[in-house]
Amino acid sequence: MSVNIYLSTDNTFSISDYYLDQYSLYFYTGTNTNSDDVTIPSSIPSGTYYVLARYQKNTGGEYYVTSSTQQVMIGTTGTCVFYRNTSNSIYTYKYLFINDEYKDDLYYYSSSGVPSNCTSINSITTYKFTTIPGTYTYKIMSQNSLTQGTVLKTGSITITDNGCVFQDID
Amino acid sequence: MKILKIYHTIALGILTLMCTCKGPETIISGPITVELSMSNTNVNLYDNTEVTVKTSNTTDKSQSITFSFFLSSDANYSTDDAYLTSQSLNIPTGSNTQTVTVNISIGTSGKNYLLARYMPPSKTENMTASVEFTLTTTGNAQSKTDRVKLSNYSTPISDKTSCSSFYHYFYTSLTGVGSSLTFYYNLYLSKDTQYDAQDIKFYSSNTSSTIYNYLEAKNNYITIPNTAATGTYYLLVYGYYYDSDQGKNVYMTLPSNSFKVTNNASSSPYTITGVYLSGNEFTIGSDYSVNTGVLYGGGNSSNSSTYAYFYYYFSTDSLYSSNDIYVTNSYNTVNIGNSSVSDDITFIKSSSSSTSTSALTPGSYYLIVRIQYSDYSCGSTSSYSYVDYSSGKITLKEPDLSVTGISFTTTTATKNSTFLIVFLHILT
Repeated sequence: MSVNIYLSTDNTFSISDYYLDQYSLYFYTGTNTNSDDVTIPSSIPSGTYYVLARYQKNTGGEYYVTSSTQQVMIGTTGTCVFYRNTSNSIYTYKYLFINDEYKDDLYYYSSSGVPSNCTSINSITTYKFTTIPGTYTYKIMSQNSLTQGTVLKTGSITITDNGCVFQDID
Repeated sequence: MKILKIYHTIALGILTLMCTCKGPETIISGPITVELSMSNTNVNLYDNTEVTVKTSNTTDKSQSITFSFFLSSDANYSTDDAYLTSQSLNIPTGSNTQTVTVNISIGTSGKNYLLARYMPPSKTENMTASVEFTLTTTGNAQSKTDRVKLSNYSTPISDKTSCSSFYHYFYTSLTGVGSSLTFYYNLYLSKDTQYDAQDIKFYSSNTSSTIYNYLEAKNNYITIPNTAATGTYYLLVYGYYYDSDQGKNVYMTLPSNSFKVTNNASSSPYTITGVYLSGNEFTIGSDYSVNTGVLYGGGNSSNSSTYAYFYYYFSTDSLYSSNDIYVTNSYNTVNIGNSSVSDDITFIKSSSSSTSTSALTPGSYYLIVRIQYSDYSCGSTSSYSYVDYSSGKITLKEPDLSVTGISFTTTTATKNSTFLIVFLHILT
């Protein structure tokens, strides 16, 4: 039996849902699951979706739709780069939060590879993201805790399908 | 009368003398000596090499002599020497030179000897001529797409009878370059020089090495099974190695010479009289009873057990092949005389029978029932023998399924990447 697989913003099928793949379900001894690796097309907008299976039991018969209860976030991926200025203590860790969620340590790093307009910078961290494009708030904290540390710097970053358009100097 | 007697005696004498002078035609036995030489004594492995055979024939007529060429580490023949090829030459009287092309398909670097073994007409034992040469294995042998070479050695296999045992010899030459290389192979008894599913398998083995130009002699003691019908056969070495450059398995076959097998064994003790199903259309995933009529007690029943495995397969034709879809098996006792063996079978491809991920799909099939039994007719060592029977053509139709759930192991995915979706389904 073949099922058509769709991404849907709700858990019911409509013609505007995004078709992903057609998959044949088979029966094996001792199992009642099948799995399919699908490739997410680049044409599908970033967002959060349900997965739908739409199928007929008999050719020409009624269509049945089964929806996942989970949702999958189809996002973009990329890297934001944060640099530290050596005027701060280079041996003290600082901590990156995105939308108040801890992401990474800003640790001492080599001065090589930093932009020419950041000559005094010798610390770097990268934030590899998979998220829906948009604008996010970042905070660089003195402690790995929003409640215990102090906010050294805060601002916003913009993530698009083309990546992160932000480079910051603390 | 006296004068007549004298004339008669003289006439007889002349006649006798004439007969003696003409005489019956006889061969004056004499030696045939052979000298080998090579125009180029530096030879690359796998190269064709021209070998000059110089003969001196002191017999009074030409002779056809078969020369068998071997590779040897010294100038003397031994049974460990690698057989390369044979060629018959017509040896005229007097001195003569002829050229033979020999492919040096085996060997290790350095000094080697090419031997020619031949039987002169006046001899009862083989004579040996030799020539020394230097073998280089870093030329063609470095081909990354040709890393395994197989060669027969020893003398050709002679005709056999079923149940007879003998040693089979061959060489594997691995030219793995700087990394481990393993050649996996099976040995089969085959009706032709190409492997197919009907061939009778003897054993599986492999040879592995990280050494450049690794040469290994393989010999195995095999017994011609009594399931091999009378006919002409080959021994096949059929195997493969993984070629990382090509990203795929490379298969190769080494056939032996052909030889005849005469089967003196008696026939199977099992006869399947029929395979009975409740209809001719069935649904994949459902359970059905299969009834098999079996007659036990004929053939070689004194050398076999009444306990037998019943294997069930779906086949696109009415003959069993190893590509058929395995369903299940059962262990049954078959009574002397007529028996009826019934098995309840779920018409689903068995997931445990194969690593293949393909499944049973709707369509037309034959249900093959295959009885496997231990056969002691070749002596105390048992081998498995088989009796097959096919049902009539049946149709397997698709079951009704319902998808009852969809899940995924990660809730984030990115564009142009793969995303694994798991479907839970049930029969409805």
